[in-house]
Amino acid sequence: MPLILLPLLRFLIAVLSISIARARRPLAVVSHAVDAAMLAWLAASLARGTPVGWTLGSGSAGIGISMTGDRIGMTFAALAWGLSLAVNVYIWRDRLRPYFFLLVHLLVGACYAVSFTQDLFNAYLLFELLTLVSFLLVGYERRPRQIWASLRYLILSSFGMSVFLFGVGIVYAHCGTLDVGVLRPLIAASAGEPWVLLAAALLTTGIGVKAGVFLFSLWLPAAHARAMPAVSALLSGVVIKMGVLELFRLADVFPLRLPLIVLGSITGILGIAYAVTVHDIKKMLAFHTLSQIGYVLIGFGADTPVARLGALTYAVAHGLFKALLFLSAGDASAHVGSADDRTLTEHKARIPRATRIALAVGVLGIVGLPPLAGFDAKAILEDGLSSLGPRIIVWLLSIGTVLSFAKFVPFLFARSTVRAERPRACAYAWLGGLIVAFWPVSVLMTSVPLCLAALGGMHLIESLGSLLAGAGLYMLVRRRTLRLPQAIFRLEESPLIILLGFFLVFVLLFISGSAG
Amino acid sequence: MPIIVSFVLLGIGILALVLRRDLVIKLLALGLINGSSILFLVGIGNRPSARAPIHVPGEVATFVDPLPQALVLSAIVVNFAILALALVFVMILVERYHTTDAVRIEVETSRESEEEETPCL
Amino acid sequence: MISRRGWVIGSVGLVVLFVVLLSFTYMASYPEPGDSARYLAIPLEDSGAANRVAGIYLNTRLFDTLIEILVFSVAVLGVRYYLSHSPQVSLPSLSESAVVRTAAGILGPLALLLSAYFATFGHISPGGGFAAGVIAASAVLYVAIAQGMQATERRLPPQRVATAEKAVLLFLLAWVFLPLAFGRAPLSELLPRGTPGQLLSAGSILPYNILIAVKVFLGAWLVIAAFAQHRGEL
Repeated sequence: MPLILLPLLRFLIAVLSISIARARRPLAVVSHAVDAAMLAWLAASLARGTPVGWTLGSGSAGIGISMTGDRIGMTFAALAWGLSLAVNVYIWRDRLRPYFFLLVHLLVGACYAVSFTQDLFNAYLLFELLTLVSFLLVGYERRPRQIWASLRYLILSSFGMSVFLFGVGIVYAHCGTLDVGVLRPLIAASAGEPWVLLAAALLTTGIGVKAGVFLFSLWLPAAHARAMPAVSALLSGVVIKMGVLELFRLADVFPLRLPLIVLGSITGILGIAYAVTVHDIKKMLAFHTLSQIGYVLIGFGADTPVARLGALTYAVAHGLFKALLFLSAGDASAHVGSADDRTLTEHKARIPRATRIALAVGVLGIVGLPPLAGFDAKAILEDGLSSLGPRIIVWLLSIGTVLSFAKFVPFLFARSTVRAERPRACAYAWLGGLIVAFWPVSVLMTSVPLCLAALGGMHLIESLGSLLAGAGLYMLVRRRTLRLPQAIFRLEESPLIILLGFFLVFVLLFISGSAG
Repeated sequence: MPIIVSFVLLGIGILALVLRRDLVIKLLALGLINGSSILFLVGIGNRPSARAPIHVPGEVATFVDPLPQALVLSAIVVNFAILALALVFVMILVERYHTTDAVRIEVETSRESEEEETPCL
Repeated sequence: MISRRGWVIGSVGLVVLFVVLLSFTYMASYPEPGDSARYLAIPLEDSGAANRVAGIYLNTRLFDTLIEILVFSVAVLGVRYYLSHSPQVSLPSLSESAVVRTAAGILGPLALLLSAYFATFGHISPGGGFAAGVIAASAVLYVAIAQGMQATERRLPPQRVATAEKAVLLFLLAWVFLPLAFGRAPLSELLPRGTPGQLLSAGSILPYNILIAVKVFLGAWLVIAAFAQHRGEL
């Protein structure tokens, strides 16, 4: 029962926030407290070994909608809670209309529901709700670039979701149910048939548009870069993870191992390549979101339990430091007046001290300095990878991450002339604290032996090695410029690239079907 | 048969979305893509020589599958909401840039530097 | 880089390949009608609605309908937010042709009657709350064409309509809250299932249909009125 109460209460509070305008801040506080209690109760049931479930609809399994509070769902629901708390603290003193609070509450409620739902069509509707709410949040300040970016987002997302609906239709026509749990044995029984390949490819393409996979989510850099900092933090931190979560649920049902690894590698490498070339730090962070999703996809494609746990832990860690980076980078560029890293270095005294510390913590986390969040999660992930190919890609991604974040270093050290506002500093403290003290969180999520193994010597050497290699590469390539095709992000090319991605997934499924 | 038609409509919608530069035509193409997915779902539920799923007391008949029709009701409302909001945004952009050409709007937005941006409307 | 002609040929080729792949793969493994019979097998007494589709989306999959209502409400709120920043314009009349105005005046009440039929009979014949709400909004649009926008707005002031819409949304949320959270709750058993085919049957589905119709009508009318107020034309 608490499973359905989590989203329902959030929706109720969302509508109340816009009906009683004065109460919007107290309502936000109340909603976070109530959610924390319910999440704790659900986590306790999960720890005891009996995950909570909820079904709507009568009769045999497969009719109606069901939700389960399993480990994946709890992880992302807790992440949604933590990040929305940080964002609410960040915007505490900003003058925002009740309409903004309505949108944020609806977003969080929809994220809770997506975390737990086991029904494919319910997931479709929740993703459309997330699309609409994100689209309205990106365009909140009504600047032309934001409006254009969010319009592109809306068009591509709606296209992707229609493709998803085709996949849902095919699955329903053959299996008669939309519930992921009931589908699993049915699909396993008919593995290798043409319709399974087609449905898997269509569903993956549809969700890929929302999940931050490079070939499909070409709207992401523009939309996340141009939105308000609080909105970018929420979008990159949580909403993208919801798409990844649905991809995981699909991967449990369909044989998506090889496509996940290949898509993850493409996303990671291309994301880093573009991130190195841009100078706008917000755009760079958006490209980075794409590449870090590559890590998570590779981890889940590797299919061993340790790699899966590592991927989940990395998703949480990435949510934390990406949100922190977006919040602090947005604040810094607001103080300096530009988001270009060369201008930031020039006027680095104008960046408040709390913001700089937050940026530093975020950067250290994302490059994997031990023992912060990124290092823990990456180590567990690497422990689970058995074959050489994914390991090499993960190493390359680590080096590339250091390379692209090296350009932050010049403006991190300065004497500030400005102070940060109190709400922003509190938000940084909450997120930064979680990143630095991530070890207990990862123990909660995985287990003590895994985390102890993660702190082992090999991983320390690897991470320090990649730090040095990345720094060295940065010194080499600092003066050179790399030109990458920018035309693929336009509205004309993106649908065709989505189609190309569909063909790629289809071919990969065919190969893995006939080989395995 | 309606299923093949829905695939063809999907193809036409994608082509129109990609090849035409006018934003309003792009939105119409998006509507066509959404409509094709709805047609596909309804076509899936079809049964040979079956009637609409409404009980008339005293008659026993085979029904078409009612679930796709229930799904389609939700999908239609959601698509309507998306198109309405997309049209509002197109209207805002057209008022600002005085053109519905997507390529020109792209060029204009990347030309303006971020500091000089003022809210539309 | 690529000429326009090459671009067109390339995209047409890619899309044709896509459609052909979809069609052939679908035809290669054509589904049997018996594969998906679970929802058909739900007994009639479960929801009591003679219209099986209404029994599904207002009973078995009620959560989907709730999310759909939220999507619609967010869209209405978004349209009003953006249009509220644009200057207000007033037009003398929505249509200059006397023929249009007279015809609209006759059709308006007829459409309103149709919408009421769809909403109240939605559980025993085709129709339903969403269709009813949209028809009602277009009916009021006909009336606005016949009488003029100012007269209609005096009867349906946008601020009051917005407040009414939020109130109906809260009421609807409260009413679906109990069945969703607690399963069979007293409030949902308030109305008996009755015999399928009668007007007073199907438990809470009849009030749901009416509430949804009212909500969609208010929302759709707000959107239309916003366009008329701020753009001066429809």
